[in-house]
Amino acid sequence: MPVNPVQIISAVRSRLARLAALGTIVYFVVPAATAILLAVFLPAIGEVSWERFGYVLDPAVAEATRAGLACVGVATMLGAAVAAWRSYRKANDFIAAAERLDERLHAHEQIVTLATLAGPETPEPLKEHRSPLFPLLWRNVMNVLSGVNPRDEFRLDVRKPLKRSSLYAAGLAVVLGFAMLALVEPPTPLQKAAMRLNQIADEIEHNATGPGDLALARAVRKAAQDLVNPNLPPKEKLKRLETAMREVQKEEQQKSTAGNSGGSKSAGAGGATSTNAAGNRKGEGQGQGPGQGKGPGKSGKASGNGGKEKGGQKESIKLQNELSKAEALVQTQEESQKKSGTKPSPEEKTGNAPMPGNNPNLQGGQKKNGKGEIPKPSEQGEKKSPGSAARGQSAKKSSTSLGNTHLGEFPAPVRYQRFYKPGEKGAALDIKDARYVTFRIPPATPSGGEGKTVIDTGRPTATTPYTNAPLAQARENLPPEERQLVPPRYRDLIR
Amino acid sequence: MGAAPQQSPDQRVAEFRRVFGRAVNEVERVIVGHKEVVQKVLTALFCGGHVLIEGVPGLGKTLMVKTVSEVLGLSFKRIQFTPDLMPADIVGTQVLTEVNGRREFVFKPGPIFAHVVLGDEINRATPKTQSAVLEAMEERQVTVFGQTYRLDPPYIVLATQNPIELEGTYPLPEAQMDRFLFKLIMGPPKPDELREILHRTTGSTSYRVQSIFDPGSAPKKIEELKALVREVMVSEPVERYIISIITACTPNTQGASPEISQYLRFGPSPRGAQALIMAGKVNALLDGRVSVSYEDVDDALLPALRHRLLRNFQAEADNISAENLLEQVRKRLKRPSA
Repeated sequence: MPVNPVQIISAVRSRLARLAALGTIVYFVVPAATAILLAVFLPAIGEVSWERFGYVLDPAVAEATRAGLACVGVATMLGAAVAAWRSYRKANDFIAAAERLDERLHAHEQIVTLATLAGPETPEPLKEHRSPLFPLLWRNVMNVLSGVNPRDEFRLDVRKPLKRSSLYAAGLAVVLGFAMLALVEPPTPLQKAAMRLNQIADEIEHNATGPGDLALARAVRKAAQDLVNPNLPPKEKLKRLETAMREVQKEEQQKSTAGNSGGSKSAGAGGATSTNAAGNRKGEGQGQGPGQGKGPGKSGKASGNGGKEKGGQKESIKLQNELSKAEALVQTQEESQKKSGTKPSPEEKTGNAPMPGNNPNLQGGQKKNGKGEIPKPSEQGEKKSPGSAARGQSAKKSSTSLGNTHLGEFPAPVRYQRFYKPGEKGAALDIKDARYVTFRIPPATPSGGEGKTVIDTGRPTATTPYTNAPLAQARENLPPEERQLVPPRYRDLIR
Repeated sequence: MGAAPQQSPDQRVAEFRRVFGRAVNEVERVIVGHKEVVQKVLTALFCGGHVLIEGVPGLGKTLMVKTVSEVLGLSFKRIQFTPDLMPADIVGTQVLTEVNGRREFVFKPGPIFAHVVLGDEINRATPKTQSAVLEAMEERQVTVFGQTYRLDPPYIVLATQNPIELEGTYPLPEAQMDRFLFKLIMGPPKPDELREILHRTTGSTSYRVQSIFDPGSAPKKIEELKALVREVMVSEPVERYIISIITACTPNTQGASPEISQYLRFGPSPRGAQALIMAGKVNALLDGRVSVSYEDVDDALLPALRHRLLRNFQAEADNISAENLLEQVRKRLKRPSA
């Protein structure tokens, strides 16, 4: 069956366009997948990395990071779709496909020449005025293209795009790692308490014997989550903790009821009497003691149950302790907030750092714009201060100001000047222990004539701050040239 | 599309290859070595161009040109260019002759009226005389006393130039250099080639060549083959490649490299691109193809463009040749498919 070169080139064009689109998607898919996976597994990554070293990531920051990563992933995928479409459009070129085919089959540009002259986009006049040698070209190209399968000739090579996109993904992971280093911080007491509660919840879940334990673990986790929720007010947090505490107590009660029934069974078998309280707290002892005499089989079972129960009790006690500690912490926080009033809590960290004064000549307490007032004692303080009553009386008696006696006057502010210390503003010029200083001989001062004074504006002036620190004493054992504080290059001149 | 072909395309291509191959073989019976130069001379003939051959004396330049004309069965004339050569000595002049009892001016054609014209040491003639060849080379006609005379096709001027003894010579102006399709350099023969030359030229055996065409049919046959060359197809990417070469060789253009802008005053004219395409077509036919490839163009790059790059003083001072620059361009340029 004769081969139609134009059909084969068209098939190659479609194949190349699809491959280009797929290659572009592969190029983008690794960074996108990395971003999404990092977003999903960020808590797990935190557990095995910074949380092991006692650091925590603020939940709000963690959520923002995860959301950001998810957005990056989704945006990358959208970008991949757009880029793939553009690649498809670009690669869907008949002449370019012929060139690729030509290069692959080493056809010496015969295929591309045929594509130029017989392609679907070739104008009709050009087709009509083809060279008389065109049939020979067609036949040559047919021979070259016989047995060519576009699927076999052009395959998707994912290694190169994967290799390059892996670099980008690695870069993303490294950036995230550095960002986490900057964002993680030592936990606050509340966060520590929440972490401990979570650990206990894990233990409960791990040793769970029924749906009640699992529900308790969930409740504890919820309490831990609420504890560090910045949107919850302390009162609400306390409420939630109390709810969790009640859950724990309820669960404990249920367990004790179950323990009592088990304990009474074994006690019955052993013939001993026991109380509810003993069944609740000392199930192990009850099961072992009386059961050993008459029912060894049952006593073993009772002993096993008692072991688990003991563990559960320990966890329960621990949990109640932790919840109580958390409540205490929340209460402390609430009280400190009440005390500080409008002051922000230390956790909020919204205060501004004190700024250094720019003008040392300003009066104490005076604002930069000069409208500050001198601090005065409060009215209460004034009343309490000795002689305040007398002052009040005298003020009532005379309508003059308080300055009628020296006792009632405050010292007037005095303008004072202060010079900068060395190093206070910029680097200090440290010329201690200097053996000589460099100086420049100024040019001759222009003379005004007839004794007229002329201001020399061109004279050298110091441009760097300096202090009048004394120069080091010349050492006696130095040669005269060294002792004389003259730059070496001027010594010959002086001599 | 030229003369109506009697043969099929296959047969015409095969005929071209046969003629070309035979011509090369016949010339090689006399000329030892320089196969590439012989091939390029024949290429220029089938392209319809002219060739400037540069080489020291005694390498067989004149003999080669003469042999080529003999092999192809074309008329051959040789002009020895000297400083006192006048244009009339080349193109011919009107001579007062008595015809049927009447005296009238009759045109006496000069040596330029031949199929193959050898301009020996063309740089020894004055520019005035050199320019007399210009019209003949480009227009294939000469005008004497207002009368135009056409030159019979095929027509090829093969000029030789001596790179030494430049005292008292007149280097060809750029306009005239541009009219040559190729500039070929003949180097010294290799030792075994020299030995063969000695055997052939100092022995008693004389080597004669045979014309590959029947007497009188050569011009027509060659014109048919020239028409075949023009029918060879060129793809759009190859055309773009040639254009990019020309652009890259033109200083101070977007595609020019810093070296080109530094060392060249002027780049090749459009004639350079035409030369590349035509030479590429002949190369394609010799390879049995009817379309030009990148290799065909690359093969013609040096002979077609080396004399079209006008170097500046800095290039001469730094000993940068046109060949160096063309090699740089070839390495730097990426083919469209790459």
